[in-house]
Amino acid sequence: MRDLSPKAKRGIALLMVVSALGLAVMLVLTALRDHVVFFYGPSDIRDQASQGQIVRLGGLVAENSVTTLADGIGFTITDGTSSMDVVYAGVLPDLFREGQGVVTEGVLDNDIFRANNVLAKHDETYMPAEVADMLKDQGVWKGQE
Amino acid sequence: MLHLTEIGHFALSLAFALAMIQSIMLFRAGRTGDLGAIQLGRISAHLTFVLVAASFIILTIAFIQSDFSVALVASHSHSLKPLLYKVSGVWGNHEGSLLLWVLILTLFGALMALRLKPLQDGQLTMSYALSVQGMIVIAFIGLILFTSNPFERLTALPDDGNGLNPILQDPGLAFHPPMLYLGYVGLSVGFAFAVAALIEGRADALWARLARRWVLIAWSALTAGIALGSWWAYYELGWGGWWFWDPVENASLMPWLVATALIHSLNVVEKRNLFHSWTVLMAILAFGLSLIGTFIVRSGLLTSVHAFTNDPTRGLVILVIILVAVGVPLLLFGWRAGTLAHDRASNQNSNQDTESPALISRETALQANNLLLVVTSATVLVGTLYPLIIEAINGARISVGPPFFEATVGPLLGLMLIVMPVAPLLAWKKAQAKSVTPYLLPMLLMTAAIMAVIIVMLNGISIFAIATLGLGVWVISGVIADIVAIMGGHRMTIRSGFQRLIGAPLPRIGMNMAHIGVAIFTIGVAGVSFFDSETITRMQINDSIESGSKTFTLTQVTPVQGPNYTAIAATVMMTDKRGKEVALTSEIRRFPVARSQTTEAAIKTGFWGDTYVVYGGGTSGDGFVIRIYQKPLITWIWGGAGLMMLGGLLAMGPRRSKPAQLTSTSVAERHKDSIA
Repeated sequence: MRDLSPKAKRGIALLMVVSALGLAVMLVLTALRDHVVFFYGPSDIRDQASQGQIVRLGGLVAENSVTTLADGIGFTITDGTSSMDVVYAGVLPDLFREGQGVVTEGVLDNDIFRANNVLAKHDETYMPAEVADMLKDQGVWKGQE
Repeated sequence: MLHLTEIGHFALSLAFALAMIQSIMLFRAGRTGDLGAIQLGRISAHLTFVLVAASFIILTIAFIQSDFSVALVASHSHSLKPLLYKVSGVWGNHEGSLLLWVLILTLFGALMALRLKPLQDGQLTMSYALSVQGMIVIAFIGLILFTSNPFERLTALPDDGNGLNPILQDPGLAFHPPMLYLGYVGLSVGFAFAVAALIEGRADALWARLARRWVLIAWSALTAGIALGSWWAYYELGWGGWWFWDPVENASLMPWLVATALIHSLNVVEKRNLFHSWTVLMAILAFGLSLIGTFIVRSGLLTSVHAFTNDPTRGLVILVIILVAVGVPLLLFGWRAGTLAHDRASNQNSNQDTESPALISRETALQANNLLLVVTSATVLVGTLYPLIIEAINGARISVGPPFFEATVGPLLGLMLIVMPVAPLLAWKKAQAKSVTPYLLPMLLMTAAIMAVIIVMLNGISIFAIATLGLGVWVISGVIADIVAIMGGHRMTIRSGFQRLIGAPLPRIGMNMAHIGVAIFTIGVAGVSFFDSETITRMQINDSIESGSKTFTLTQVTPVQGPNYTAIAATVMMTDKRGKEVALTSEIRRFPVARSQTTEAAIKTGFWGDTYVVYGGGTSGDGFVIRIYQKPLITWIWGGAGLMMLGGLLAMGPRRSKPAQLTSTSVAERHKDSIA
């Protein structure tokens, strides 16, 4: 290969930068379109989430609502005013407890939320940020500001 | 009577003052080469470390003795905790982890001071760098003293402490934060060198040679720290995952990617005296991202298991520190970047006498990989911050999970893995086809042949699995090619080949070891991602179930008493096809003090994969829930990371020959130079 002029080399270097950035931007935009998961509370999930779409549902686990069903574990997520029944086929994480905050991921199936994941990335002193915000919006927040 | 913790607090205040002396004296030394100032600066750096170490030891003693008059101990420790976790409890909270961070920062300062020998090549650069290091120390000791004092006392003594979150009571987690911090904080040295280069107005081969080892040790520690964290999550969190794209994990991945780019571009500065500005920029960004990694996640802005604190003052101070630490050097960079190519050896602008590389050359390949690493890091940043941005714009609460990162990071790193094994084959300046093809062709053939065998053997595997495995094999073929090249290529005889291999420079061996590590890691990721399986079932005692060609029988479920917990232990007997039996016991532990529980998975580790059994509770009436995961090749992930780390450490070894551009100039000449 013959040597290129410095100007051509500069052009090629620029082309590399632009194509790397372009590729990344394309990948990011496609992935954001396809893989972003929306978060809802029990009050807005029925109106805003479409059936079968993967979404997150968060709130408080209603007291005395955890039951063993044929197809998994059932419990109710509430924000104090509205509530939603959840069925989860897996094993509940260690930090799951009645009366505490929880975030689940899954799909809306008629009037039941079928969770395929229960996120318990919080401990008893730390509330998932989305749930805390939502409870504040609903005016049922009892924790410290 | 003076309480021990008051001495600790006093030592920290004294260290604060000494760091100021260190910073000012060494800045002066950098400008003038004043030997007295250098000595004073060095001594201050050593003393700062000793004082911070003393205050850290005092805090540790307070934790070991369960001195509940110290607020931090009362809220994070408990007298019934095992000793190891009393010690690791020191950094299991915001204040203590900040003190550990500063301890490592001053340790690096003291080590730099040891390397700063007066009347030696690069003493001015080193002085400036250590001065900048001192400024970072000032900022963080200030943060501790004014917002997060770990020595705060309580007037009313509690009977016992609140305990450490039981999930953190684990050997893996005792060592994960110090190792990660060693990496994060180690990158501060690269940053200090970058700022020194901007002050001095040059980033030449000598500069790169001075900075190289610091960046390598930081990178190795960061690699180990991330791998330890991932390993801990795998066996402790109890759902068999090894990477969750949690904001905190992303925050450690971003500086790792940029530091990887930095290692490679430093090499180009040292060997070819090119890429000066880019390299300085990488060093600034790597540490900037480390700061974000340690602190933004603590601010409570992002939903993460790691959030320690929600105190807005601290968050604000940290934000200001990050803005200054990244913003000021970037401004300096904009102003001075043009001067960085100045080479002290030839004393003229090196761009004029260094011929620029051809299109097909090692420089171009490294440039491409640098770009891909940085762009990947930026992609991770976008994915991590996107939920915050969207919520700020329209209030919608969203999350960006693993599918996003797999769809973006995967292809970008895949591209990088294609280029990676080719780069070492290409010559600097200009690669000749006749010297590259004898290696490239066998590499392609080897990869194709191995992949053909794998595709036939594992009938019906997905295209993504083929691609990922293929990339791993491709990288291995590149390492083999480079080892053949070290041994003399086609002219090699067995005897001379091994002599050459033994005599090869350590950095080159280190590079190959790290690259093999990347390959093994990639293959491990392919194994876990594409060939894993999961079985969840309810069992009675003596029930059996098949999973991954093995039989699992629940043999007993019994209560167990631990030192500070009570547990229910379920034992599952695993029988393989040859009738060999292994008992796997998984526990659910309840910690009365912290009123919480953890699950201990039972893991049978093997070369070809792990079997991961988790007891999920239950009663003899309903049956006991047992989850069984097959995790093929998962140990290859940590093994690969371990090899990367070792490779990084080996690469710290001496280069056999000094770079051609380096001729030693006398200190007097360099003085003239720096004043001019």
